[in-house]
Amino acid sequence: MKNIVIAIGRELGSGGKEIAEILAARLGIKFYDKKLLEVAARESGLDTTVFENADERESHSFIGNMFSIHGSLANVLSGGSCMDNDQLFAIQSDAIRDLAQTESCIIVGRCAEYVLREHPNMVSIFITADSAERIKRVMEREKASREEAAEIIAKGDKRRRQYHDYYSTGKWGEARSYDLCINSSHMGIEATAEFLYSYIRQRFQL
Amino acid sequence: MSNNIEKKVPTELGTEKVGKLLMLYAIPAIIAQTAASLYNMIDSVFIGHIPDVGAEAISGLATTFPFMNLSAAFGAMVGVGGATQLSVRLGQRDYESAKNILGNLVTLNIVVGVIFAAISLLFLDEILFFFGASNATLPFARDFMIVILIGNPVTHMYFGINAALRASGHPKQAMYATILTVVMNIILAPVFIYLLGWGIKGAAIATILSQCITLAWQTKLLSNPDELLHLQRGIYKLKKDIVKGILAIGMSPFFINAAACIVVIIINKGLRSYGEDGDISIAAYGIANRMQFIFVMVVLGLTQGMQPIVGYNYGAKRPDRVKRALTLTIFWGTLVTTFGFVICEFFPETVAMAFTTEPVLIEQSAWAMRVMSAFMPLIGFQLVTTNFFQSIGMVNKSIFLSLTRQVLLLIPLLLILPLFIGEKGVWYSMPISDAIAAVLTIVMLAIQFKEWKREDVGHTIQN
Repeated sequence: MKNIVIAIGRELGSGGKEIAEILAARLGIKFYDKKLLEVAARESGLDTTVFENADERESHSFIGNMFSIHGSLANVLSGGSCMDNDQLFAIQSDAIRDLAQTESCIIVGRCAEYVLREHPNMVSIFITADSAERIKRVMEREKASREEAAEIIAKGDKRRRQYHDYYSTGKWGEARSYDLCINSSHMGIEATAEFLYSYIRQRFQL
Repeated sequence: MSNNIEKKVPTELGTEKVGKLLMLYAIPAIIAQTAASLYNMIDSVFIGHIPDVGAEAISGLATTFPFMNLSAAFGAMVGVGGATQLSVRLGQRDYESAKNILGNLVTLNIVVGVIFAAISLLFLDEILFFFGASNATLPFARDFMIVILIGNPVTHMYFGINAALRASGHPKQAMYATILTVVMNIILAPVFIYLLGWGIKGAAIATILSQCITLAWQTKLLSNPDELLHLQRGIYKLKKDIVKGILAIGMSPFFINAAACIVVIIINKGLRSYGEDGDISIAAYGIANRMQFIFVMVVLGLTQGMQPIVGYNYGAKRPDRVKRALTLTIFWGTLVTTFGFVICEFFPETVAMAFTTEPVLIEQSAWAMRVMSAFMPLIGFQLVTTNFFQSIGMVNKSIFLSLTRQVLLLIPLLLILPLFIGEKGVWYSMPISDAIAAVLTIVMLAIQFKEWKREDVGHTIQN
């Protein structure tokens, strides 16, 4: 059988990561989120912190490139060869594609559903949850007040959306960008993971 | 799927000798920059030698510089935005999206180019007066600009397509295109100006015609259906998402170029209102500025070569190589601007004679060069360090430093100093701003190195 890769996008506090972990365990395959950065770092010879700083952020350092005031148009256009976030994203994407080539795995975030769009056995899933539940989860995890949690969620979602929509052609969290969109609040983490498991089993006739 | 066609990281950046890498990366960039700065100079040189055409024509030409900056600002908005998006898509081998970006880039260039030209032509005299023209210099500026503006869509296309070529993996062809345009301009300009007797208009026609020819060649290159990304039907219709993306990225290069335009306007206006003979002063500034520009461009080419080396090694945690690349680039950059300093301080008359035959103007521009270049050796260091901060991802520091010299310090000085010492105030503002900016740069670099040292020590203690 060919490798199956599952790309999971998620709202902050939706339990997406937990669901991905359970699903990975059920399928007996590996699960990558931040670990991806280590893979990318190893392949490129760069330090992991470089990727951490650029993680799920759109490119900004490119802007700095333009700040050569003397620059004529020609000058401005011939620049842009430094290690900016765009390049880091390209390196990370290569790492994702390599992984998907060598093993079945689950990849959380990092525009994986776009990066792997040509992979024959790619499943793309987006996980949401009710706002109250997301706030509760973030309050517990971050030991934050209700207001703080709401702010963390708003900022995190915004960052993920900007990152996703800058680097991929689909829209973050929009049904047409994914095979499956699901709200984890209705059945809970475990049952949602179980449901996704049976979907994948049926789809690939495991 | 991913056949690992090409890996994104040139790992030689972490292993090869720093000096060799710098040469490898910097020389093509320096050539491109020199070509680009020559491009800006050719017209000045040829127009300055039209018989019986004196300082007025050169001064008129100088008042069109802000226009060029403004046009470049719009070109950069579309070109940089489009090229950035293009390279992100190509990095994902997403040719489907890339071709639509290419098509939209072409359409946007035409739209922006035409609108800019139309509005500028409509208010041409008013704009030129605003940029510092006088009744005596206006006719020359107008003659030149009418042709340039009619050709503006071509100019935008030429730069836009070149950006697309570079982004789509043809940096060599993009460089040849730049050189081709410069060479053609050098050949055509004297023919049109002197032989055919078209005067200042001939210079403009030569500029546009060489761009037209290069554009034809570029278009042919990009129309090759064997290329994964090529010009084809059905990609030119503007798409909201693409246009929005291009403009979002293109905004900052737009503002930087627009800022350059504003600075020149303030200088021209200052020279006009405080100067004895505003026209001569403006022409002298045009000449001196052109001269400085070459050396600045060479240094910028050098820093472009430094950026990937510093960027990679900083990321790979190799401070020794980062430091080596920085010191080496500062050394070469300072050498270049010191060379410029020597020329501008000791042989300014000779330089001025390349641009004009008018004795008054030669004298005035030689004086201008001496003043403007007073702290020129520092500029090399300042430019390299500014770009260094950018290469290691400290964009805010980089932006701050490049704004100090050219905007934050310069504009207030330009507005205040002349109130006390008249025209000299305009001239002195430039070297003063250079010097203060250099001091600021040294301080920021020193603080940065101290911080790194502390972090280092902290690490060793922790371990």
